[in-house]
Amino acid sequence: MKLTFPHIGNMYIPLRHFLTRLGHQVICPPPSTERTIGIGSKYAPEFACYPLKLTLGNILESIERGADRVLMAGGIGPCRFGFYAQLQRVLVNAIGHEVEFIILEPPAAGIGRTLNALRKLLNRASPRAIVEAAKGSWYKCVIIDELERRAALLRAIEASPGLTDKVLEQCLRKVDSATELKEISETEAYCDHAFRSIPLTGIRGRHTVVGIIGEIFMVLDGFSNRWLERRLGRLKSQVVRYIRASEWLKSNILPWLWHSASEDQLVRAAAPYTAAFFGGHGRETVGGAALMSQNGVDGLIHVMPFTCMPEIAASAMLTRTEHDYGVPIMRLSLDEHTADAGLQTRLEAFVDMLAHRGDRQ
Amino acid sequence: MTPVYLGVDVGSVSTDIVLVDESGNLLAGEYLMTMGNPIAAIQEGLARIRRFTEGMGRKLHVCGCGVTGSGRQLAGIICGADIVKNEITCHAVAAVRDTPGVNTIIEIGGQDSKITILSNSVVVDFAMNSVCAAGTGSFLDRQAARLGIPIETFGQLALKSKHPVRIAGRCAVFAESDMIHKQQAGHPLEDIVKGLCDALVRNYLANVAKGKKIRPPVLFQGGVASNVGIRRSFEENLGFPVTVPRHHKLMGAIGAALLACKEVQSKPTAFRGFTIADCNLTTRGFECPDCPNRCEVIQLLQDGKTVARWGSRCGKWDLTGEALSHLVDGGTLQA
Repeated sequence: MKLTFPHIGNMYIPLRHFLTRLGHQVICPPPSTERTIGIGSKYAPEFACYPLKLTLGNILESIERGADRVLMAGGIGPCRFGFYAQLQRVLVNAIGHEVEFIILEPPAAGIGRTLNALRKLLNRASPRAIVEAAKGSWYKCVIIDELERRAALLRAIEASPGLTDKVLEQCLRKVDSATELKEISETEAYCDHAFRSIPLTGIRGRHTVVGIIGEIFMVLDGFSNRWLERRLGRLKSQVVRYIRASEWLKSNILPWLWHSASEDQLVRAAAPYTAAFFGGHGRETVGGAALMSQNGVDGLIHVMPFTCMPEIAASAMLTRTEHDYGVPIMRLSLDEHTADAGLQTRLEAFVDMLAHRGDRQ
Repeated sequence: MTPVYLGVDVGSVSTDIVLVDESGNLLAGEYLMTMGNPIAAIQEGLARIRRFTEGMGRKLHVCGCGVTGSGRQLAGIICGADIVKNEITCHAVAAVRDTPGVNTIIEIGGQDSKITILSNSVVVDFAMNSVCAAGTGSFLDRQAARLGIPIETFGQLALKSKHPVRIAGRCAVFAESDMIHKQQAGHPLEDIVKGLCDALVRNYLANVAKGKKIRPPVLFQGGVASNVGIRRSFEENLGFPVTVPRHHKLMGAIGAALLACKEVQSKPTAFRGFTIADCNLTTRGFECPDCPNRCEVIQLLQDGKTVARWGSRCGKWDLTGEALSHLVDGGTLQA
């Protein structure tokens, strides 16, 4: 059986490691392209949001390459995402592919279903192999988060445009190819050295800092957000965000083992605006906006898929953080566009505005 | 030799080219239709500017060139721009120069409409229509053509209306079917036209301005600002006067020229000179087959030779327009 999974940013690296180490034959979907979203939109319901269409495209492109088993996350929140795995199973089977879906539901959906999915995933590996696979993929996830964090700060101040992204790409390949635990921990030093060797512009003074908040899939997946962080970097803006894949894992997959301090912080910061959990990452969006405003970012960009319910609710609350802290927020509701001119114009104008506001203060 | 600055605004519908002097006064301005061919429009505009200045009796020297508009990347490569700036910033720069205390800019162009909020001459907020073209110039053009009214007199006709009809402004398709319905029901033309102006303004305030505080003085810029009917509807809706600057159609280009003037203080201009109006520039596109993204790569050819290439996501086809630099004629216009 050949197992596959959809993309979300660079998470294919730890995921592939985890599954391969457990003895699965893994087919990683090819990087998302216009073709992927084209296939996804062809079979998905029109009113569904972008993440469903793109992940469906990933799954179908993997099936073309021989995959016959799909790992997909479930969910039970008010966000539609929880339903997508089921919907994709139905759609893929209706297209005529005989494919088995392993749907990883959170324990709150019924512990039996979670255990059942885990049993298939763990593939009767020895406890030692399981621990080793989990550790290795966790390290990979943490290293990648750190790489992304540093790249988002460096792009704005690199001496030769585009170099940070080349180094990032090279480091990601290195992390991806490491197999043993020792090797993985060595890549950390390698990446650190590679990032330190990026020459920077000598320009002193503060750069514009933009915080990114919003729906986790759109924030983490560069293809989906039209490479937002790269665009901002090219406009000489440093980018920060709280949303990280490792934080999500901490608070969702194994909340009873780990505790996400960042998650707690976000919920507390959101408290003056909402006490309720209203699905997806809505509450984290509001908390992130408040927290980053307190920490002194110049502006915030709220990223969400078009028609996203939790983020639309959060967006309304953001008008209040905007008012309380005076930090402007640009809303970016994304769907399948190919013309980037409008997006680029808005980003340029936003960054210009932030720079001029900063000069005046 | 008088130093002057060139501003080029390549929009979806019009291409505007201006020359301003060091203190920002407009010396020459040309408003051309882009007609789907921005390169030809830029060349024609430059040729007209050159012809215009020939009659001025003094020698001008272009010391800086700024470009803006949705075609700014292309224009920047062709002209050799010192600065390539988005249209929101350019319009704001020109507006502040025109009316120093301006607080709100309403800008409606061919394909998009924008609102910019300023405070102490600094942009503090802006918004742009992101999904629908119901409130833009192209839609007005289309409706005027359908009703057989020249677009220039469309606004005047609206002012004659006594009982404007109600038309849905949220969506161009709904608006059109509403207009057809009212026309078939026998309403006079001026009432329908006025109803459309009101609907567009309502749509703008609800979908673009979205509750932003519009404080006077308000400047109304862009091509649609020529339409007195729309201006009147704005004034009725807001309850205070809306000013249309004298060069409202050229504001983007003026802003680009002013920014270029600032940009070249510390470096020489990259402007390639007016001879670009005379050379044979064409573009050719191809689809890169190397990955499933199938990027549409565009090449700029000068006399059949590729001089610039852009449009690939990975950047491997990119070629900046450096090869064009032999065209430089110093940017000098003969008196």
